[in-house]
Amino acid sequence: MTRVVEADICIIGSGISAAMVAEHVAEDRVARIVVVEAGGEVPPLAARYALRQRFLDYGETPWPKDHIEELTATGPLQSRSMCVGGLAMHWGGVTPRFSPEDFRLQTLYGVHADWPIGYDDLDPFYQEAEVRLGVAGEQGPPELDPRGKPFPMPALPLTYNLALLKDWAANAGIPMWSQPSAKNSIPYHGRAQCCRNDTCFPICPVGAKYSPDFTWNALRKSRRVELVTRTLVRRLIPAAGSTRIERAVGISLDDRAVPIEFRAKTFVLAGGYVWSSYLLLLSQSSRFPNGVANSSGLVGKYLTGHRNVQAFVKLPMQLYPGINEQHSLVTKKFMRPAKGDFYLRHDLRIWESTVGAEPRLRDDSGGLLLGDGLLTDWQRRAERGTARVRAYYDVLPDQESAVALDASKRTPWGDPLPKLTFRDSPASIEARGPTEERIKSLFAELARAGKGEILRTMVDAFQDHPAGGCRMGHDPTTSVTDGYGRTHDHENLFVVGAPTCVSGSCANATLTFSALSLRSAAMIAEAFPHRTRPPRNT
Amino acid sequence: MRKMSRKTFIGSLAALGGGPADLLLARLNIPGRPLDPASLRAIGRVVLPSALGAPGVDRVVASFLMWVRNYHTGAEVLHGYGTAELTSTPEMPVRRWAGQLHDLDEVARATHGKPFTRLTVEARETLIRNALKDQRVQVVTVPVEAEHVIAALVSHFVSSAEARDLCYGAVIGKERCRPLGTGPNRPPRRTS
Ligand SMILES: Cc1cc2nc3c(=O)[nH]c(=O)nc-3n(C[C@H](O)[C@H](O)[C@H](O)COP(=O)(O)OP(=O)(O)OC[C@H]3O[C@@H](n4cnc5c(N)ncnc54)[C@H](O)[C@@H]3O)c2cc1C
Ligand code: SF4
Repeated sequence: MTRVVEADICIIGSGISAAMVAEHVAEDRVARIVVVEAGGEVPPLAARYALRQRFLDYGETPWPKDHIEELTATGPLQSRSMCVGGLAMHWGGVTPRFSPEDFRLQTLYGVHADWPIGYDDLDPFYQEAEVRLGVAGEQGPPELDPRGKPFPMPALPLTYNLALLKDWAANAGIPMWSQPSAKNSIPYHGRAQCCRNDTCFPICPVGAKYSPDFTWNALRKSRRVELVTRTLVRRLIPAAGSTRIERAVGISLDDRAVPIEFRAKTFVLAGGYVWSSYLLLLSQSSRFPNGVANSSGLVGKYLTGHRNVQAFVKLPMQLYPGINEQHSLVTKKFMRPAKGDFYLRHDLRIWESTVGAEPRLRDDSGGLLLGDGLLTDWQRRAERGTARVRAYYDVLPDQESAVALDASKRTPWGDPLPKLTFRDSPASIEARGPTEERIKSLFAELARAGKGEILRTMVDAFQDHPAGGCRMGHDPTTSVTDGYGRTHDHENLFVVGAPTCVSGSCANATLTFSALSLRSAAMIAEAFPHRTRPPRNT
Repeated sequence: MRKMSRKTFIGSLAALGGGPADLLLARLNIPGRPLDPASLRAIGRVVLPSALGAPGVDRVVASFLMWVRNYHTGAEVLHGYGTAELTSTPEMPVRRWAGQLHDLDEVARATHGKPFTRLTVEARETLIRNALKDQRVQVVTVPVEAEHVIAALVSHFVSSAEARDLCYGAVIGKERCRPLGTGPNRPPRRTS
């Protein structure tokens, strides 16, 4: 017999985007919220020190079984994580904003498409996301880094190493500042201050880095949200004679024989950049042969992200790597294309590094280094410091950059698995070579300014912080959702966060996914009555 | 049914001989031939920095053996970024490593008429250099991947916070919890 769960709002997925929606709505409105998560629970904070130690000692995952064996994808999948909290259980916690230009690429530069919303529309939600996650940040130059209100926490202090590297960048004419991060520079929301033990990715053992489990723990404790885990939604079913979504049907991964069905007034799809489009595409029927929300034919299309070029630069300065290797400097100086130039936007970050100063057992001529010989060689190599420099650059997506169903590969319960293809737009294909060359020249300039030498340069083909698949827009023929993530085709179905992005910018994108989700949440909340007294003032 | 004691169980596995027993022993993480701590200490005095002193070398060897003992074959490895692939920890080559220690001892007895552990530091160094002459030894970030037990021991040491501090002559304390507020300071000089 089918198990039926009734709710006002059914959120599918429990990643960071879902956590933002649930917290925002539950805080302010009276609504029965049920969250359905395909994956299982994650280890509690108290277990994380020990798990971290095994990761450091043996490379074991600190998040055992955080994935679903049978659910995978062909193509460049960002991560296998499917669990309570999603990918952000082991994210790095780096939280820059996009820049105002990102939302108006067509108007300003004649490339790709504008978003239906502007930076100013998102600014209050960026602020709200920064408060909810707890972002420690330093205001950059206001013309490059505009923001309505200050960061909720002081910046993570620059380490001894980063202060020297900041001076180096300044010598090359590049203003840099402390990378905003969802890590506590002071105790915050009952979580500890960061103690710079440097395993933010993949696990923070003290809870100083935000992860969505903290939000779920609080919401579950307050009984404002019910979380149904190990349950995969397989289809969204529209009501007969209406375009409203009536049911989400799925299976319990622990007891596949028992179907489960969620009935709600509002459905919020928060499955991330792969599984959101995947579920819409899977939900085919005779009425909706291309899946739900897909009258435009664009569900799954325009997957977007950014590639990076990185280099290691040896510099004549004594650095002490290990003070806080995961913290970095950032600049937005290059996020605004120069007039008359080809379309090129990138960020720039700098970290301390040990590359080129590693201990070794053989010297350059192959001689064996033992005991004091090994130490002396290591010390000599470590006399000069190494900086890691990296630039994410904009990649504009082709329409056929897509998540699609792959009928040749199926789950044990018979559904096709997703296939991912990332494809640059023709303009991006043309710009790729000159873009990467320009970034390499910038690195060379930086090296010269510090009398340093480039040890090696790499280009990563993976498109980081993938997004898209259900892009937002005003026009239902060229987009899947409106500016709030509401699908054009189904008034009670929202897609939130990453999938709704029109383009991927050139900066870590999760803060933007969170802000977009909060903007959707504000709209979703409008259908439900206010609580008399909000529990927390954000 | 009578419960078999752990010792009897292992004994009966060993009696099986050959492949399956080795495999089961490895799964239980009980190497057929254990790594000899005395040999490792004797090697440590040659291959680890003298600044550690004898107690420091003993400490590193003890930590290495503890690391070996607590290793789990087949444990889930942190899945990669940008890939769907899942992997697990490989079998630790303890049998090979133990054999390498045994070989050093054999050579010591053949050439000097004494066990390896009783040779002078100079004689041990000569034998170690000979043993590694044609080996592709390198420091590895994952010591279980070391071809030779000596590379595993060195890799284990150099990846530690203690080794980093020794190299830089400063108390950096990598990966340890340290006050956020002291990050901007130059790490204090390492004293001993
Ligand atoms: C190692 C690593 C480091 C990172 N570091 C950073 C960083 O420093 N800064 C940054 O900006 N970003 C970073 N990211 C990216 C960031 O983690 C993601 O962008 C973000 O967590 C995505 O959140 P989400 O809510 O969109 O989706 P997800 O986290 O993917 O959550 C979606 C959830 O929905 C569930 N789900 C999907 N479909 C269904 C269904 N049909 N039924 C039930 N449940 C379903 C999934 O199981 C999953 O748990 C990092 C990612 C990784 C892997
Ligand atoms: S440096 Fe350590 S304490 Fe700070 S956020 Fe990262 S893992 Fe947590």
